[in-house]
Amino acid sequence: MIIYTIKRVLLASLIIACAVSTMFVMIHAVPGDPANVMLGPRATPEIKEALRARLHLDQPLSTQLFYFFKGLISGNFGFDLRSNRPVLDIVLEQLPHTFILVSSALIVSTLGIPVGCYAAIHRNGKFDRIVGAISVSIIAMPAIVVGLYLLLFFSVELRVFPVIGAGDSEEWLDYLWHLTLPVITISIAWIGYISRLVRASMIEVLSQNHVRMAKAFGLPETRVISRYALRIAVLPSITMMGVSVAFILSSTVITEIIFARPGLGSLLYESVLSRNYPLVMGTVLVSTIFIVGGTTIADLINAALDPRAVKEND
Amino acid sequence: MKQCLKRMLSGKNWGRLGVFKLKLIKAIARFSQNLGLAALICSFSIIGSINAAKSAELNVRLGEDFTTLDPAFWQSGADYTMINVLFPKLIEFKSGSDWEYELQAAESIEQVDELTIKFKLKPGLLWTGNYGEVTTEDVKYSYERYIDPELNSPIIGDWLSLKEVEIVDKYSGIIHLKEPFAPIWWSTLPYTSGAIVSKKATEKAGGKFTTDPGATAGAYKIESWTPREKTVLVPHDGWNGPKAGFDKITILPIQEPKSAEIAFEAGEVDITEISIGSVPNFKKSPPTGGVLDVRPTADYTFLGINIANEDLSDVRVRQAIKKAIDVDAILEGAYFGVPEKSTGLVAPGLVGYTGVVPDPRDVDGARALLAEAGVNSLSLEVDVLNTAEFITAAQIIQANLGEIGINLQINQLDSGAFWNVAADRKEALQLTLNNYTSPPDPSWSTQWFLRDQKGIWNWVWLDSEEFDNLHFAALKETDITKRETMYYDMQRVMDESGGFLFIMHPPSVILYRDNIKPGLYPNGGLKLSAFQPAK
Repeated sequence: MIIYTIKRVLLASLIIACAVSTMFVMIHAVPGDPANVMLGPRATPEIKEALRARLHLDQPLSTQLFYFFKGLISGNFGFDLRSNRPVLDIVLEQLPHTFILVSSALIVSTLGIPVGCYAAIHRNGKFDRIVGAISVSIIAMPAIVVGLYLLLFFSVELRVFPVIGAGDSEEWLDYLWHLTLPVITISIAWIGYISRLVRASMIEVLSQNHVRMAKAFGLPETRVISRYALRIAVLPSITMMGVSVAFILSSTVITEIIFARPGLGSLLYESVLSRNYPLVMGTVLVSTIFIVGGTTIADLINAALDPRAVKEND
Repeated sequence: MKQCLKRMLSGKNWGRLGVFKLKLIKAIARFSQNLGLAALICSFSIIGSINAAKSAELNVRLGEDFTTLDPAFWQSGADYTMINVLFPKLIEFKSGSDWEYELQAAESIEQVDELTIKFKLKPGLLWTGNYGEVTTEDVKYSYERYIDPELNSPIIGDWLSLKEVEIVDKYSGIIHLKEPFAPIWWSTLPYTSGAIVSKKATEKAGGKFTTDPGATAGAYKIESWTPREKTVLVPHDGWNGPKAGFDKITILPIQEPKSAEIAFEAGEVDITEISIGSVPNFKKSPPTGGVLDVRPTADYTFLGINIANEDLSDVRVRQAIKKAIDVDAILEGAYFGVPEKSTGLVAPGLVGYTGVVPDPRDVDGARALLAEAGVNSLSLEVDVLNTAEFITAAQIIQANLGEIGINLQINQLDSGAFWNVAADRKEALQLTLNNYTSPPDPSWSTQWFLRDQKGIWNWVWLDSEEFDNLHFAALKETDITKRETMYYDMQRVMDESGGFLFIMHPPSVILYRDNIKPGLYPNGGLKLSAFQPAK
């Protein structure tokens, strides 16, 4: 298990380096001049040229990439082109908001496990059919639609939840209050998706020999389900939840914009549009670590639950 | 199990003890109900008292957070709003619908001759953070730093004609210019470049700053700033101008206009700019207590037709394109009939506004011009920003040009790519649907179409010596009538080139609560120091 863990961590580091390099090349290939962003239209060509030189933008892409990684190694992520504040400071200010949003959405998404499990046990029953219909409907709904309707109903009509901002981070109740609608916006589709996944997986496991044998031996149904069926049925969902970190993170972009929440998603959106390269790279780096970290943790949990995964990778 | 539960609830077979239990449950339920009601009433009272306490608080939505407070480096609308409320200026634009200035930090100001402006500061205006009084030394430092080559200010143009600021005494000074500069009264002194910064605080910060100016002396000061979340402003005790209207102004950066509209309806913001697309809905069913204010800006939206492009080199082709396009349909279809049709580069209310309504659409005339130019079929491309308004406008233009046999391809680009399109494609660029912003002086609009701006901001490749000469002459002309004639002539040159089809001056649509009296510049910009509660 230790060797497996080391291998996974090394692989994760390699993936992060590749992803960041690819992103670096991609954003520099897109048309747009950061000197215009930083200095505005009224700057003289000389001032713009001096800035390009300072940012190494007048040099080949490979040299720029070298300077980027050199900076990373020394802990220098560069400076925001507009405010001139260190990128790392800005990203770290925003990270907790996104981390809390994503983690909460992931936790809430796990509601899909008991729902899917119950639907599988009562296969083709009323509950199963209702959950099936609702799940498919909510999976198909984009976050922007869910978010706007939640806002219109709960914030404008009922006035029970706030519309904008993250709330006061020093008052956890206020923060939680502001977090509720964004979390529902992101996780509602995942609850549906995970419930369908667990249901399908559970139905398959329930028909397997070891489960039928356990039942034949007269073990109580709750014990059979919790000890022998659910443990296996939940594995694909855990893998999927690892992958879902990436999807949830991308959902945060639109969610943070709709709810005017601070966070990495809205920061990334703004910085891409304004060609604020250092800020884009800082945000992408942290997001990549977040995503690759999530999938690595999911793999390690999988391996702990199912030792065959370790052997297959040896 | 279900039957057992039903029996329990129905109260059958309960006996005396059962009846007692039932009474107890009912009593608890009644108590809880009353408690809930009391809690509800209590919360309403608390909310009510909070609202009452909030009467002197204002929540303002801006489209983004500020990124720099240094007047020599400002870029965005948020920077502009913040600088205007935090730093004093000698003169400042009035809140209202006309571009007129009033004295702010200055007790008096006078143009002695074309090169000399005398001013006297009001005594008693203090900097925050124990930096003392605002003095002539601060004014001198604030304005002369623009022309310091080491500062590399991107907006050096505002003060390029400055020779020096002479200190007469603590409160009096003289601005000496190298050459006459008419925009100084329009887009320099009352605009952001006229903001006075603290010499001591700025020098302490190394000669420039971004988000921490060290000291401010405006009507309000920053109490707290949480980046990308909110900025809280409170009245500045050392301010000697009109009393601040609110005890607290909270500025909330909300990027998405729809979210801002929802926040307004939910009562979380008191004033916000909304999208043009929302105007018809809000006019039809305005939110309770909401007031809609639509006013034109000095900005201009136009179709640029590149003179240097091979396919568009014949002026008759360019004029044919202009004649074929139905501007009224664009205003109706893409902008919901909210803005007025533009009469040229210069917006209403500014020096040089012609007010002459352009000719209506003339499809036959367009066809005749194309035939005269020997053009049977033509395929062109138009580059537009990927916003709903621009795309709809481009689609209308596409349909209009289709009627005269021109096939138009629409290239939708995000803002980063769009603003680089001329640098990328140069003379190959054909049509562009553009929106340029402008301070309240026409020189800021005409400067982009000079010959040395070709391919930089002059995407039409206008190449006119007459235009250039008029632009520079108008910069120095302090006689308003003569200056006005010069801008008429410049707009004539633009019209004759066939390179410009002016569509509108995009309006600023503000939605605010009827319990506030907003301070608004004529272009809808927020003058926070002038906001007052409505009586």
